[in-house]
Amino acid sequence: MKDISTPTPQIIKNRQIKLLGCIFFGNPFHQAKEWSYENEIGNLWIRFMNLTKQYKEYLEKLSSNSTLGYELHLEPADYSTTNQYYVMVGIEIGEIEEIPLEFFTKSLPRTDYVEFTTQMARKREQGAYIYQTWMPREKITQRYPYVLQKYDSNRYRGLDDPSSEIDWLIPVLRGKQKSDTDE
Amino acid sequence: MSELPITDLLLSYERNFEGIKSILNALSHEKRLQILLSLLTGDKSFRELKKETNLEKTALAHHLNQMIAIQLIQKPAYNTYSLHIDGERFLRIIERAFQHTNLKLTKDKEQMETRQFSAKFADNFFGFEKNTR
Repeated sequence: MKDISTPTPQIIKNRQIKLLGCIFFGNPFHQAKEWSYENEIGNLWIRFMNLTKQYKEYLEKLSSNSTLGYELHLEPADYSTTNQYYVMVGIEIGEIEEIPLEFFTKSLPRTDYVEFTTQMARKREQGAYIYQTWMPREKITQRYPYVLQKYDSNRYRGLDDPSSEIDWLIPVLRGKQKSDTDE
Repeated sequence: MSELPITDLLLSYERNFEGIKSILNALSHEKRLQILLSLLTGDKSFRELKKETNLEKTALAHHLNQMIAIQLIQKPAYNTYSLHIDGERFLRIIERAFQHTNLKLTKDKEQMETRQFSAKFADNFFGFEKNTR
């Protein structure tokens, strides 16, 4: 296991990520707290995994890497008053094509990302270090109000294993660089 | 207003190529566009335009003469400059066309969507809110 006590972020340039999976909107923690198998995100993963068994061959054709799972957290503008937000769990796909009815696809904006890895036992402090210390120091700001968690089955061994690793992708703007559409 | 068939559109551009090019050339300069927009609000003197555009006398005179020559602006009296009806027409047509461009839609979408997490939301996974207290 590599040492990630202080995560070393990487910049991923100009990437467009397309996801296929299942979605949830609401407060995912009204039944069980964060980082629990019993909350709505846990239920969403179970639903997705059951569907993947049903459509195994289909998904193998669409997905470039079957060892990676993605979890998207998207904050809508009214989150502060509703406590409700979007969660999508699924896999990355190449092209968006006709898909089985219960799956959804999401084409995220083309953007740069900061990618870093945290360990389950220290995810909050490691994430806070990147978000609050490293990004401001590097003059990097979050571009869109979403974050992606990437689960690699070779390094993620469940919520209960403190050495499990989770990769994070935050869409960002770097330095004084403006968005592609600014003059 | 019905749209010209493509063949007629091409033919019109072919026939009027130099005239269209001179208009686009005039409108594509930041200071000339600034002058035209300034004259939308009413007639201006040379001194007023010089102050607004922050241009040297010769540069301002050059821009004004260029736009008078192609009738985007006119000089109805000594030291008075006003927008020609064609000048106003072009400003309106360009603005209207821009409203329907992908560039405009993309810029608007970007403006609407570009923002960071609230501290409350980030706290779901980063322990963000606790660390800022």
